[in-house]
Amino acid sequence: MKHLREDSVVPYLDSRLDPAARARLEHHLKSCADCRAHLAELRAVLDELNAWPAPEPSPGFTAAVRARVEAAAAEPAPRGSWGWVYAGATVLVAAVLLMVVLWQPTPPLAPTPPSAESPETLAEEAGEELATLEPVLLENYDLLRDFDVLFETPTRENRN
Amino acid sequence: MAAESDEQQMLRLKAGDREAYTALVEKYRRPLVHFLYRMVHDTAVAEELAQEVFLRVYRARSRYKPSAKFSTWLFRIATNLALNSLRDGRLRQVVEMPAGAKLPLRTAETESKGKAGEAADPRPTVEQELMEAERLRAIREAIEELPEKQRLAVLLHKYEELDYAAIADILGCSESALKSLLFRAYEALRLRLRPFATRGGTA
Repeated sequence: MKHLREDSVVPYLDSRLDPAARARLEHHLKSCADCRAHLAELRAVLDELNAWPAPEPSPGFTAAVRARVEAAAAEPAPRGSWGWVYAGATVLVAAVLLMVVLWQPTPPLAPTPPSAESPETLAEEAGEELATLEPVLLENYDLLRDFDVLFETPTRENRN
Repeated sequence: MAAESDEQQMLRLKAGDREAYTALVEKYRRPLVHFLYRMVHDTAVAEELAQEVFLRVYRARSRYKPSAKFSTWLFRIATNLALNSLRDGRLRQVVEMPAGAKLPLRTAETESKGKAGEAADPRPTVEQELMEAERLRAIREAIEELPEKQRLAVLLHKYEELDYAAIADILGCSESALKSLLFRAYEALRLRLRPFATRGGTA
């Protein structure tokens, strides 16, 4: 289809081409049987693709997701707006206690500030990051496990 | 009371309201399973991946900003998971018919077109069933044979009906490039599926 712009064809078939471009395209179609035929074939292909069905989610899908979310909620707080505040605070407390007990200078964990990136790059990074996301664990969590304060995370507060 | 937007529900989830998440899961589970199925060609894997998408959204909730469209974010995660799953090579390309899926039976239509005046038998003949299965296989294979980006573009455009901006965002290209990409993809499918288009389909 040499006569039509490549980036106009699909929007035209979707009825999403801007009025001016659409008028030009339809004007061309009036005198070009080849393009008319070609467009008709593309329409037919788009229609043809409807023949491929896909399965429905199983009846237990939502319940399964909820179970996984609840399990995740029971894990230590993830890095994030409230999570890092609590995590940072508990680590500082634990670090001070460790220093007292062990007399070794343990640098406190520097809390990661919330991201200040634009939504677009944020979403992009989230996408890339999430591709291999592992649950984020606090550094030295094993050492801190015995301190009760760690088990009080924002996600465990009484919310409906 | 007006229904809450996806973005509002995500904000509630961010604030700790896990009940709010159920509505989002119910809304998007079907399109996600459909998209993932057409990527990985396996019902069980598609469902597993879809659940994983929702879990990852939950885990990343603190990073969600309401200016970003939720569905775009969701499908980007789904795309990444599907591509990782395929690249891992854990899946054989199983030719599988999804349970409960009905082949589109155009028999009654075909019959009534060919034999005006006679009562049409709605049941498909064996020959027609075989043709339908062959047509379905051709569609599936034709899409699978597309280059990765074209394949994603087709699935997100044709079946999930995302808008151009969203798909371009997910694929990391301009809208204009995305429109050209879609054109090339549908052109390839047109040539590949030509034998089927002329055989018993609607004109």
